[in-house]
Amino acid sequence: MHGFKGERTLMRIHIGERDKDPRSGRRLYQAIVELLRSREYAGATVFRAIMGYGASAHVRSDRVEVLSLDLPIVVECVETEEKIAAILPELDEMIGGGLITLERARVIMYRPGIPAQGETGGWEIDVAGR
Amino acid sequence: MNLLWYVALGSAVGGVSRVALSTFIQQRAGPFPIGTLVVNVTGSLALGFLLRYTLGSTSVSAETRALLTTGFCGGYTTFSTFSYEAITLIEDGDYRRAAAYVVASVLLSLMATFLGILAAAELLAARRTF
Repeated sequence: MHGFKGERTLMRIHIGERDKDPRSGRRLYQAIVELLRSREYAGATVFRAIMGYGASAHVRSDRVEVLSLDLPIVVECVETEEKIAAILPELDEMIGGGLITLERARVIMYRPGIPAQGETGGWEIDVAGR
Repeated sequence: MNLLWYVALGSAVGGVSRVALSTFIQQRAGPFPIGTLVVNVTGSLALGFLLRYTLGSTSVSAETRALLTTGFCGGYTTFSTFSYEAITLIEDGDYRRAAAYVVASVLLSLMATFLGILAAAELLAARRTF
């Protein structure tokens, strides 16, 4: 049973595995997730990519040993447009090299044990959020 | 810290391990360069396992990967010594031994790498179903 359906913003942050947070010195992807969680954002997921290149044109690949030492990382967060806009200045200070993309996403949310709210029935996605 | 320091440390330990083990084995063997063969095959087994496992698991950092794979395995195995010993056998007219050495080194190293990768895949799968 699905619950909420509506529009949110999907934020994707592309960074490197070895990037560090300039303020605390911890892993940047870990610092970002902890920041989002401390501000009670809906969620965040970190993916480690197996291959890629970016602005530096430096190829990373898990197929070649010396290229596998700093693989790409993508941090995804789905939240309301306002909350995403609110966190961007802070992320701006933390990220040295990388990319943030913002997409409009239509969300179908599933939560076990919580009765469906605002469900319209069928698979028509309504635009109005909670 | 620059990744090269981790590589330097691993290579140092690997290189010293190679000389120690290879000398120990070769002193008890004949003219056939079995010491180099052993380190190359065992190193290939180790690299196959370590690289595949650490790339499949997020619990090992990029720095540790560099230390263990590019560093230690890189220093522990040797292509230059293998090539030199093969050429020397040819120089001495020992063509049969040279051919056996080259074929054994390549085939056994490739097989060992493959076995190492298999072991890593098994371990990663076992971890997931635990």
